[in-house]
Amino acid sequence: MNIIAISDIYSDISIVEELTHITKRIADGKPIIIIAGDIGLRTTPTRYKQDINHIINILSQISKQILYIPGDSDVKELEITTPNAQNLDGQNCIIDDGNVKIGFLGLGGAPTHSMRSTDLSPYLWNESIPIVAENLLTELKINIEKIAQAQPDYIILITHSPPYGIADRSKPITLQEMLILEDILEELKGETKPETKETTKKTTTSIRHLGSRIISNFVKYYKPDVHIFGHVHKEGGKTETQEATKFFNVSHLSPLPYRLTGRKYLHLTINKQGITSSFDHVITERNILFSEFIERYL
Amino acid sequence: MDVCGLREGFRLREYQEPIVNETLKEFEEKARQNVFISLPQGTGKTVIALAALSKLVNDNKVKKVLVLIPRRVLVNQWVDKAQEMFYGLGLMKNPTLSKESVENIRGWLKYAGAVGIAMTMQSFKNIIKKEYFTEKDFDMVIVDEAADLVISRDFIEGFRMSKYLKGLEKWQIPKLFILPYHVREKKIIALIKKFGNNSALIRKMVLEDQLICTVRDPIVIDDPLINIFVEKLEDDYKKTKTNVHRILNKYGIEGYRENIETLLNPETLDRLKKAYGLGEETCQQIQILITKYILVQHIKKWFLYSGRSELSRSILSAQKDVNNWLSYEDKKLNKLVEEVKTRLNQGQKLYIFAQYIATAELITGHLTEKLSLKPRDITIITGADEADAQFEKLSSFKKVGKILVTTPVFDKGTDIPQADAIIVYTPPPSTEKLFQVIGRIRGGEVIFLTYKGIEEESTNQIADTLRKTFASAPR
Repeated sequence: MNIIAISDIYSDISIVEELTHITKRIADGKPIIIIAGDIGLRTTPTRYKQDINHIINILSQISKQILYIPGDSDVKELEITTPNAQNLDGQNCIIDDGNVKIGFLGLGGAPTHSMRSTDLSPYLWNESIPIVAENLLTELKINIEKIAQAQPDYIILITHSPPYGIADRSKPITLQEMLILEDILEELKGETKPETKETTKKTTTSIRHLGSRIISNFVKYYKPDVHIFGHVHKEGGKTETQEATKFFNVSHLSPLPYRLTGRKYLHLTINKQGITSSFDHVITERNILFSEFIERYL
Repeated sequence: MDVCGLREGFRLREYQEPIVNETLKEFEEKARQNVFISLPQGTGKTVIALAALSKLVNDNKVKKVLVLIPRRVLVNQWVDKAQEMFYGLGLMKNPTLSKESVENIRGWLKYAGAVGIAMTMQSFKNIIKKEYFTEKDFDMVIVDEAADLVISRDFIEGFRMSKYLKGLEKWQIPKLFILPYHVREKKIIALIKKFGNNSALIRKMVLEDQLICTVRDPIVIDDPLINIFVEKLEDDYKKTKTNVHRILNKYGIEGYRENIETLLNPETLDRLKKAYGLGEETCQQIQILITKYILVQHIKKWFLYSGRSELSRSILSAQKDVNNWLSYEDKKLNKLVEEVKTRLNQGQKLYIFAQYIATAELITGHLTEKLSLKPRDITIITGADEADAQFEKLSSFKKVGKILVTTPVFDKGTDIPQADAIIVYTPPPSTEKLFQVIGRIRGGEVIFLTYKGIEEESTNQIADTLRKTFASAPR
């Protein structure tokens, strides 16, 4: 089974289009596409809804099935109407292609401590509140138990937030800065900007672990085979293996937050014998000079 | 009988005594309000300050002193040094300050024999804000590592008082400032200006024989691809910087030329908008240019300082030449392994300096793997370590370690154990910082690793500057 995993698209339609060109080359038919959150950017509600549906539609044409979860920049209840797309937030599913049976479970949103400001991030949870932490953990446990009953060959966990301590070191994320810094402002001219000043909650800005302790506790005890997550862009493209679990931070598809590490996706090939993984670029022009490359992509 | 002084077995070094006397003369005979002492690393600036304080206490000129130090761990080190070398110079370390505790602290100062309080500059900011203490509570202030008292980020005022020590310039009691020799002159002048005309500067380039380092010829690494990449990036870097300067010139904006990154701060841009009438579009243009400028700098560092894992995660690895470069082992790291291996075989203790945490981690991992080092052989200390952990690690290196890999975490006054050589993997950003790093090893050899071509000339210049400084220093 071929799986393409991405996240943190932030309504960047062009990068999704570039991805479709390159993934058409993947042999063995259409892949499963996993999106680990932050599909859109809530600039305006109408624009947001259009963007996420457009993105899912484009990807649905090149995939057997899309499994997605909302990220902190998405709304919890995503209104996506594409038939082969499934929201895995707090849900699970089994995909069996005849060769290998894989169980998937997901958790959307991100912990509040990972964000510098709460504006533009409608889906956050505060895991320092015991009842919130307990509910999230219970949800994950119920889903993995359901999957286990089907006796899959592998279990894949998809969350937007990294687990605490794995590929999660960064300054608290600020989408506001991303908006300020990038060319996206050009596109937004004339549209109503979200009100931010009143709702901005400042937190400290030193480099630290931004991941979720609930997720790391869950992974520690339930040991999924693969954990795919996004959110912490600075660590995008990092792969780690701890005990039985392979961890992948796939938060660097969009060039928006970090132009340098963007434009990459994870490709997993899974069969009964094992899992192979590689990160690859959506860039097709690889034979141009370094100087030209810098001009074009920086 | 003296109430305080050097303990038995301790004495001042030959050159320290005259500096102490000069300091006292400035305070006592010339009635200076502020004395600035600027000496090289490792010359015992703290001891000089303590000796001067001791004399002033004995002469009944000072009863209570306030010592201000940049970081909490240095406060502990300062007070411990005072107690180890001097009797009668008990200082309270970082007292917990609250409305309730202030009266107790005053009581302790009065009756428990302490000559004062040592605290961080952050604490000073709080006591001033909350008015727990005023200058009336003290007869003297000593500020160690005082170079950061003024910062140069303000485009209107030029040098500006640090937010932590703001208000100190208004205190009328005697103040003694200690700062490293290699602080830029411009900064020292600005510092003195902030504290008024009744100030004296004692600035001497003294070095003891055991502090003199032997600067070896840099080890040159030949990697032509690095030159191609870095030259292009340098070119982009200059172009982007020129474009930002052009905008600044157009609006007549002074300052920011050295640190254009500060223009990314929304508050700074807001001030510029108000002061110079910058439009929203121009601000965006500046931000886009600076973002590129920062990215280019990052990439350059990755190439020069072995950031292969970062590069392989970046889009640059989609480029043919970069991919080719990534396919072979890092030549600089391999050269480091060779050098370290030779020196370890000679029984040397080594100190490796890297400017960035990621580079220090990379070096540690690489050396451990290639030389099959045991964890106790190699110690890495970076800003990611808690203060207590830093000192435990230093102690472990001193007792059983062979290699200490650090970032500039010790650049301010920390005493680190002696080493036979320092290998500079990543050159510090300025001569001032370089001397802070070199000064830490107290003698020994200095070895730079540098890429042929792009880095070679600047590294040779740095090495020459160091050699000249050591050669010309009075002993």
